[in-house]
Amino acid sequence: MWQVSNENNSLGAGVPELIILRLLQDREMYGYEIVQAISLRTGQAVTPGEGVVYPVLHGLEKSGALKSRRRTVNGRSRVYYTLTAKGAKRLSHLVADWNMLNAAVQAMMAGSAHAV
Amino acid sequence: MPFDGLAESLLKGGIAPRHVRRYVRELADHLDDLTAQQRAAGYTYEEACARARARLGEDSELAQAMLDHLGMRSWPARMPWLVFLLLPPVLTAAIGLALYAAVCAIGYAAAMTAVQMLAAPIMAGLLVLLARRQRLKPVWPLLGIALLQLLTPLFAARFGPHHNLQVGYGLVIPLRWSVALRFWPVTLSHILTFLPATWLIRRTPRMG
Repeated sequence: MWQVSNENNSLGAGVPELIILRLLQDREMYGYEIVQAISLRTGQAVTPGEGVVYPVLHGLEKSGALKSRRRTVNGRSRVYYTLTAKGAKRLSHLVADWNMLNAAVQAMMAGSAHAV
Repeated sequence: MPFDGLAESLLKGGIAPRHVRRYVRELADHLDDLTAQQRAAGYTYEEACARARARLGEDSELAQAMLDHLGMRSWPARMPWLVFLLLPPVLTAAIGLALYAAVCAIGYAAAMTAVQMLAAPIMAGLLVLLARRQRLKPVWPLLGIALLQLLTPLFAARFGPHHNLQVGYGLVIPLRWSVALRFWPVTLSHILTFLPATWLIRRTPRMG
């Protein structure tokens, strides 16, 4: 299950936020689109229970990282989410955290390989 | 409705009704999209509905995802003592004070009596509605109403036109019914304030 965490002090914390913020950096999207895009762009490696994306979106909106608006497209009314300046800043922090963690794990794995 | 059970679980979990409404609405939209996708993939309507619902997630999973967000909880769920015990007397007093000032300005004392009579019952009704709307335990609104009942004569004495006599009413009503009849607006106010509490008590067994 996905959860939003404001603290990145545990492995994997902030990954759902990172993915969603990164997707919304390109353009505004609604929930269904976001889930499809996650599935597509991660090669289906990340497939959240589709409904649980909304609490993450609402949490990000509440924290000011996203803003939403209801739009009617082709007769369907949907809530579209957009990245805010605060969200962009949060994304850059999350990317930096993720890169650092990734580099650390890679280094550790390389070390393990040498040890073997 | 497909998400009634989920909505009820979230309300009982303390999630604010506006967040529940929005979540359920977005889930319903998402379910429509998933169903259309499954239909386009060649499934019958029944199969498409079942597959779409499975992809959306179990109710328990959907509920837990929202319940994990403490920021989505309502104020009455987070701080019932503030909403049901502290704020109502303060608000009632503030309204009384504002109206007292207004009545002094326009010199229409009957309006003040009407306000004194209705302020506490209206506040009691609001507390009960709030508790019911957010599926809270009835103990909080009942305590709030009891506190209002205790404090109303004091507000009346502080801001009302009959000053000391109304304080006296609050203390001697069990012994002197003639006083209660003489100051019927306050008596009526107490009776009206008890009505929402009575309604809530009668509904309580059905709240599960």
